[in-house]
Amino acid sequence: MKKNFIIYSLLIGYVLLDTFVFSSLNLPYYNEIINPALWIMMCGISIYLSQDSSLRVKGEKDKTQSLLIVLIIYIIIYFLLGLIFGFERTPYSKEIFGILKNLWSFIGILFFQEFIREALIKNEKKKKINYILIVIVFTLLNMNFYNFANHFADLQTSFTYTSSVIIPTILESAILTYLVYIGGVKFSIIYRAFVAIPPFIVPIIPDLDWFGLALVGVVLPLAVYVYMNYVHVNRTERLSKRERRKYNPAVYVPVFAFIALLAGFVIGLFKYQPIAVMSGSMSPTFNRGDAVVIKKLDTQDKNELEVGDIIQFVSGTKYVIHRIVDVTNDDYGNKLFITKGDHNNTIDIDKVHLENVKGKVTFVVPFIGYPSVWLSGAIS
Amino acid sequence: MEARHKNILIMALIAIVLIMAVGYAAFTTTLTINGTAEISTKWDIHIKSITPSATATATTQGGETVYTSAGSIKHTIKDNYTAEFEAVLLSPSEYVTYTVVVENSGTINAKVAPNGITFSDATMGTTNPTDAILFTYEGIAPGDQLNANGGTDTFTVTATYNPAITSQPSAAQLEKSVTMTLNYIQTA
Repeated sequence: MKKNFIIYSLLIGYVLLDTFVFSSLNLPYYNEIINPALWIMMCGISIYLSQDSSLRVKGEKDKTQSLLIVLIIYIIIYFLLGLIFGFERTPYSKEIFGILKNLWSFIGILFFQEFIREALIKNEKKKKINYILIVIVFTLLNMNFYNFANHFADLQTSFTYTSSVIIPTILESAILTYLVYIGGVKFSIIYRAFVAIPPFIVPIIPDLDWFGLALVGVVLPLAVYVYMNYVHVNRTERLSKRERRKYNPAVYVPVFAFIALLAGFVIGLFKYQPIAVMSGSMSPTFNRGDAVVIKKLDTQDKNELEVGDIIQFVSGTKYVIHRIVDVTNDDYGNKLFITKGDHNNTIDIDKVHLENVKGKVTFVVPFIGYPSVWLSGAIS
Repeated sequence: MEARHKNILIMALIAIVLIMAVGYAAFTTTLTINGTAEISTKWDIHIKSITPSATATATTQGGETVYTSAGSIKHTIKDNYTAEFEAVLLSPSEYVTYTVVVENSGTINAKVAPNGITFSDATMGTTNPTDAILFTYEGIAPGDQLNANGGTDTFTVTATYNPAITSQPSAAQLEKSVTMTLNYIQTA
């Protein structure tokens, strides 16, 4: 425990120095020389302190192959997401020297971190508290604490930052710890290489919003854990065929498929999208807290809308769901819809142009919109 | 799965990745590219604040500052790199100046990209513009450095009444909005 205490002290000390001293000094060549030097020193001390301990790995080749398969599939799916969400340019240098510098400054650090992680696990293989501490400490190491409080300025920012950054960082730390436990530093380095290197060497990456980032950040560690746990159990435990079936990742395929379909449905990937009803203007047809399923409309569908249809349209900066009560034309002959909420006494002030119509309500699901209503209420 | 089968599967997956890479390189001009990547723990550049000042009288309505007797002004920070400015100017003496502060909260030094700062207003920078309200900007140019760990850059966006306009414009012409998009890249 004493050896790990020294390593933990070094790491915590580094976090404090980096957050409160180095970041405000803005030292020249900090990323290129000073920071890597600090990590090389900590890595060297950790390796020295763990030289008397060892980590036995069974079925290393099989596990390596399995990990590579999962991660290559992740890369394929990740970049295919760009065809759905669009891409964004990576801001990092595209020159050869710049790429190499970034790989040294940022990716090199990750590899040193993994050697330290392995040293911590080797020293205290049997203590659960050690693994928990490793996850916590390495989560702290990989967070950027500059302006940290700004990410919690309001509930909405806190929610999106926690979902897209904090939770994925914790889960990544957990899966890396698990990978070192079952296979040593090589596995965690492979994982980090596949996840961290692409933005530094490719010019474009998928433009995922906070929800997409959160989803990827949660599903990837989960998928890697499910599959690698199966491989590890097969190699290390004497189990019957029936017991092995419990760990078979094929069991989880319906779960992941359901998660993917649900996520796609919620974010509007498909023709139909659920929307939580935030006001009571359409009562009693549907009420605040219900969810309506909107069918997205193309131009032809929009031209076929008639009086009585309930549509979703853009009004200013908001989406509104009201009923068409009349159809008219503007001075140029373009179709205009006059709308009204069923519970309102008067028609809506602004007429709705065809291009502002987003979709048509197809059916209502009572009550399931309440979590969104409560969260929205808390945010505002 | 046997080791040999796993190796074949790995090779097949790598081949798929290579084909995708070739495809991306070939179709880059037709792919939808939405801008520059936003937050990560290392790269965090964002519009920190926009502060307007105007020649009009300011009042507070519903918690928002509204400038009267010179119409109204509004600004919205849409995301880390994009902001929208709106101005309603009623007479030639009126103007609005927005002071924009951009901050680098990441750990990587940055600079304004060659295509730097873009506006949705097509009349900006043209000679003899005919719009009643003109937008200009000052204090930022391609190559301007923005240091990591809290470095900031300040520039201004100004809406003025076009001095070349001699007849009374319509109400719609006296209102104008533009969208500004910033583009930063890593300093080499």
